[in-house]
Amino acid sequence: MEITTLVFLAFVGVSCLVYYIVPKKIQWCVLLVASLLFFVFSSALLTIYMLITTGITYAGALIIQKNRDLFVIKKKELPKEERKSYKQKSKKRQKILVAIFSVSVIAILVALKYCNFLGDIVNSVAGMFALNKLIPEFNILLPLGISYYTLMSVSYIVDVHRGLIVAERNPFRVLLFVSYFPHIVEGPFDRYKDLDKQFRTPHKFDYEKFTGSIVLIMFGLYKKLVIADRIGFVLSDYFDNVTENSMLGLSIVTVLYTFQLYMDFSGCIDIVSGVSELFGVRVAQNFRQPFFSKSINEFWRRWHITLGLWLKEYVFYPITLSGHFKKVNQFVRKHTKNKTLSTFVPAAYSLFFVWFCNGLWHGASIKFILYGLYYYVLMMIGQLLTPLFNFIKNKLHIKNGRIFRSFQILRTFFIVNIGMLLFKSATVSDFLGYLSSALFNLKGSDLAWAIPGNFDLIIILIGLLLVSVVGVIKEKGINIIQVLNTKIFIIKWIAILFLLFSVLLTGAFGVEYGEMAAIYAQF
Amino acid sequence: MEVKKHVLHILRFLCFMLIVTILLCYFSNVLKVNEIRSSTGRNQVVQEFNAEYKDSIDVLLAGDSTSLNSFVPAKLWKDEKITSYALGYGYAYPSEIYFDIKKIFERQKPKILLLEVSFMVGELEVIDNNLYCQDTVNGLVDYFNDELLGNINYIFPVMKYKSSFKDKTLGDMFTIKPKALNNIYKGYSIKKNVLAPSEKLKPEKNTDLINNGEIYTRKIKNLCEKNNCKMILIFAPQIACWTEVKHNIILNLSEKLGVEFVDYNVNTDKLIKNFSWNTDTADGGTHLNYSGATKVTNAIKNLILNDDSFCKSSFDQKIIKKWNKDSEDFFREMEGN
Repeated sequence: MEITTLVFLAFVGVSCLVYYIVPKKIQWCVLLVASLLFFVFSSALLTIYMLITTGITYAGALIIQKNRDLFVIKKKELPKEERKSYKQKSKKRQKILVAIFSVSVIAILVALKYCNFLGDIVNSVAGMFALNKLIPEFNILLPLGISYYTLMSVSYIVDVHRGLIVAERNPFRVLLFVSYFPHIVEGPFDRYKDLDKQFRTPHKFDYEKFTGSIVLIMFGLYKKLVIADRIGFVLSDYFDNVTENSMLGLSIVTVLYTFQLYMDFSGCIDIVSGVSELFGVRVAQNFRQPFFSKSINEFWRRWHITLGLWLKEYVFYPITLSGHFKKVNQFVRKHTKNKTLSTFVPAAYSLFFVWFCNGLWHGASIKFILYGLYYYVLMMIGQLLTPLFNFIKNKLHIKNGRIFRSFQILRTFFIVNIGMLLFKSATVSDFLGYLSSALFNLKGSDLAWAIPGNFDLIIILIGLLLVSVVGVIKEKGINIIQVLNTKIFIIKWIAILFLLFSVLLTGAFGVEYGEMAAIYAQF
Repeated sequence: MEVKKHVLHILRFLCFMLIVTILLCYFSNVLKVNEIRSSTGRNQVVQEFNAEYKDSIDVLLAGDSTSLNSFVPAKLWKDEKITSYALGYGYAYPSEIYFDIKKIFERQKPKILLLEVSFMVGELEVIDNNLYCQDTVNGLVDYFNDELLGNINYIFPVMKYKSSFKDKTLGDMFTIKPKALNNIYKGYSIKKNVLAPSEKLKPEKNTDLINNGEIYTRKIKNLCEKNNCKMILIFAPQIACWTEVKHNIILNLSEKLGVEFVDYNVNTDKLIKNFSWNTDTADGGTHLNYSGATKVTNAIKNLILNDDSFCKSSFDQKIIKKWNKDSEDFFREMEGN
């Protein structure tokens, strides 16, 4: 069930109606039933994988919690001299338990999503030794949102281990967290402590909040159906027909694709955030005007924020706290007195895994791994060269004024676009082919395909202008929905009507356009 | 105070919905085509059909582009004085055809509906087993979506007509009453070139009725029964895409529904006189050219005339006059080209 279809909106409408009719105590049950129905409608029997993941998560968290509780009780009972050794034993057991349950949950994801990729690697290695294909290719259907609910399940297990939350005794509450339908399709990655509190709070129908959520949903639909899908439609002309790319043609197409990806992903996030807010539940923020970023680091703090936070919490921190990392750190400090290098090497070591995982999360292919590592390399180069940049900046008396900030924004946008070209390319060799065309072909024979037709161009430009204006307002710290709620209702009506009829009249959906699935839903 | 607030919100909501309804009505009308410009979108097809006099069509052929290229209503009028119309679109889908036919029955009383079924069968993206029940569930979700979309378009065809938005001028936005677009082709889509098939395409894997194909064929049949119209399933000649598997799928469906099925790909020589794939197709066997279409029209004529239940209507003079004129114009244009 696509989130931009009428059937989804009707489903949300019916769920909402039931949600506010039933006694407040069982509102969370309505969300659970709606989430399970949504899952079954989208994945049929594949729902079983989600249920298995939930089962492991629930049982795992309870066992870890029991181990924690046992430690607290026993600690009091034991004489002082035995406490330390018992603490160590208990900690070790706890770590093993966390590893077992987290790995079990991730194993399902790996088995379903990455088995063909791993098989390809094994077969390639076998091929080097003139061996036959060792692992056959499997035809596997992925359940809806497997990459999202798996990582959220891991976060729940680890948070219980860290003592940030207490393991839930009611399995259906864990099931609701894992399967909560607004965030299952494209994220964001929510954390249990944030969502559960809201699931437990009774929600009264609030007209202002409700209409505010509708504006958010309509804005998301506008971004997805009017801008992203129209750009997607235009780009298919280019990628289906052009065999010889030029610098200008490819530049236009890449910028358009970057906007498509942003409008598609952030539009869907707006829809799911709006849907969730209809139920009074606020999901985590996933975007914060990423194209205003002045550096790659900042870009990733504004783009797919929750994935970055997840990787920081559950990959970066465990690595930096591991014994192995400490050894690396000590080794570097021992062998070099250069301050830059002694901070660079440990950072490079730990961040490598973060960006490797970031790439791998996006897809089971070398291309996506390189996509993650592309940003890693740039960040590392940036870190290494920061003293040099600062030196040059000081020498040239460049101040952090508006011009320099604009330059930084444009530079970041340029770097992001190259990353997006890699993201869009089918293979790494395609990407290299595009790059070489872009560098050496100045003819521009592909411009007719790269530049959208008049009508498409006007719709896309108006859309981008509207989203940019909203972005600038948000960047200034103004919450548009709140402003609309406090101003006279007519303005909110005009906003909804404008968005609704823009989607109906200029949305790139229907038979002429074909179906365009949300790009990030495939991950 | 609380009650007053709620009443105010309900009133506001009703007011808002009223504005939405008015705007939907407005756009449903202004999006109709005022003159034939570059686009030949779905609105134009419906609008041209609506230009026909009320209760003036005896035979209706519905389907996708295959059907539109296979049947010449003007010829049927010229030969037998039977009024007919071909209604369909490229990439038609079952729910769309169902809701169009439903709309048509409001103004017309066709006695025979020939449902050209090539759009009902296709290659499905099935992952080699039914263990996942994915198809059933997808089918169910698609059905609800199609029903919702179809019913909304039935009342407010904004989404169906939206492709013409790009051709609108500012003046069009204030023209609520669109012109009636007369079509001398009566839905027939002409192709005059000849391109014989080079080789027959390989049979498709996983061929089956497309999602909800059976449900909507059944719904169309029920609609026909309610309106005293006989439904016949036909498969127009289509050497490039037709397979025996497709034939058997439709045959099973026709038996299930208890309706007649004529496949012009089987015993083509007997059913269609002088038909040849070397001269009668425009694009290697997917669509017929004018020569092929006239031959298929002859075959359809025989099918209708041999049907005991069919009795052509006696129309008043204005309808006969219009059909005579349109038919003359059509053949003049054919001869001229």
